[in-house]
Amino acid sequence: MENLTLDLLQSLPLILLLVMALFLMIAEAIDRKSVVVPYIGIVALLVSAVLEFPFDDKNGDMYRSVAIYNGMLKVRGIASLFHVILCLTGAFALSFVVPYLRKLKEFKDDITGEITVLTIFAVIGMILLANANDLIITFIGLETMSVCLYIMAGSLKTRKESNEAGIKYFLLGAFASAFLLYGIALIYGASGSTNYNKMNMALLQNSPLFFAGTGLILVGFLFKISAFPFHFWAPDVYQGAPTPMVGFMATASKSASFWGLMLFIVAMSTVPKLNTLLQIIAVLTMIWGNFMAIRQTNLKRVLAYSSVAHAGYVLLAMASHSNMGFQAVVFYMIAYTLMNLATFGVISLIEGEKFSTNAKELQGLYYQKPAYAIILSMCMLALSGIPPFIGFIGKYQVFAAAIKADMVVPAIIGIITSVVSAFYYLSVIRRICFIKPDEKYLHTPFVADGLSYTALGILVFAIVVLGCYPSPVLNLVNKLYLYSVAFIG
Amino acid sequence: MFEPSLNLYLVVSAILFSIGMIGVLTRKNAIILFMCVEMMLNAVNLSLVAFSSYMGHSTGQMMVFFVMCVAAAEAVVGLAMLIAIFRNQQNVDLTKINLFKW
Repeated sequence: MENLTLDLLQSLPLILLLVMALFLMIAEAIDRKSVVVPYIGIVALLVSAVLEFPFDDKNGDMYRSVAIYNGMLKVRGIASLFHVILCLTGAFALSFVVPYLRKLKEFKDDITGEITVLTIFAVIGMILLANANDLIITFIGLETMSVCLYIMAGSLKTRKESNEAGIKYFLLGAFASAFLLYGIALIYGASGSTNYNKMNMALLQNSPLFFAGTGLILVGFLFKISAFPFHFWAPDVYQGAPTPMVGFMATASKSASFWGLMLFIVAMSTVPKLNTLLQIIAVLTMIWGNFMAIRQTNLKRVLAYSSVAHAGYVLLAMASHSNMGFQAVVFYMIAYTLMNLATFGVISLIEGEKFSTNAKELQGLYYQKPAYAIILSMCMLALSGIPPFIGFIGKYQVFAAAIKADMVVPAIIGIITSVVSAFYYLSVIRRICFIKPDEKYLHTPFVADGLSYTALGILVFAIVVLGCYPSPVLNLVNKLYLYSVAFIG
Repeated sequence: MFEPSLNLYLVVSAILFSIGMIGVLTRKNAIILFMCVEMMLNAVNLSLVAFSSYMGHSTGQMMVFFVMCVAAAEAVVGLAMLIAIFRNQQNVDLTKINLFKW
């Protein structure tokens, strides 16, 4: 009984989110047009982030991770960093979503409440996935997250694009999670447990069930992070789904899946390694993502392929299978989240009532809205990994880890593809800043409201400042990682 | 009396899973696709239960309940989405949902 009380106390920030989500769901049902629901949602996410924040104390208690609920879930340590990042991502995404929906004539405040509740539930799922210590929690977290995201992708139900994005994401996502589930079943069968700490690793060594199971689980995760053979949903979904929600789905769900995959790989580190497989996938993903992005004419499709390429870089760090590599995974996903949230945030303001992000229509944005054009250009530079921005630090970490793990050839391929990627990022900048707008396609961007301006400002500030001075975050990641991930490389 | 072994259950489950998978990859009607996905999930349930009874503890059986809940939640979302699509374009044929190429 004491155990239960302690567990409940330790997972308080998560329970707070859950209670608030349920409360807001009821509040939303009572007053469908309520304007305060989204703001309460944002505050709840921020409060939960603050409650879980790993402040330093004398003994480093906050840094040591603890398994709670019979070893189902991990809190503290690196888990709390994941919690904070995912909550903040949810809050930022909401501050772009709410003004965006409010400006669509046929929706106004009708669905803002629903989307708020779904975002919070998705964040809960992501936290479960990133903090799981048991394959059951991994599965439930992943599904909670995915189901919410399917709805968000298809939430503009009168628009065919959104419908199509929703159904494609749903069918392919459900298909992929069936694979993940089958993998979990086989690993359970081979090892006698679903818990990372209680699995019988000796049984796993040469078991064919284990190999099949790991492969199937990888399929499920690779789908969620849109790595090479399973990336085909990303461009369509990114293009069709409402832009600020794409920002959320591209960043938070990807980070959570990467961190979930990392926990799985760390837990399996005593059995034959997956490095070679991961390396091959990483190289193919980088090449395919970057080269396909060049051919695209729609900005959101460019970003979809760019996110495929970024998944490749992170997989490369993952494949290095070292402490340095896993820290690079954590840091890169934080950097990626900041950059992509800002990018999709600013695009959601630019695209306006016409929902178009075609290259022709964005042309000469600088002459209409210089501020948006400059922020978008900065995001593009950051994504391509050019020094004063945070993207550079992330890429540096990834390639350093890869080279240190003797993966020189994949690292060189990565650097070459990263140079290729500069081509399409810079061509976006060229189009919006240096070509005069085409009179035929002139359209008026949204006027942002205070909420989205604030969020955008904070994100851009973070991208620049952490790019120049990344050591606080790097140190935090390093300390939390060393205290809490039991991995001997 | 004939006692089916663990392997037999696993084989049946693998066959069911493959049928579902082939269905998803070849059929064009969204509802049939959807049924195939459910079939894959239930094939997994079968192997979970088989493992669980073979090893004599209840983790697997417990997991089956979670899987069923998840499958139900997915069914709700998927069918709602199909209805939204049907309202907009009067069919659920995936070859006709092609604003973007697959």
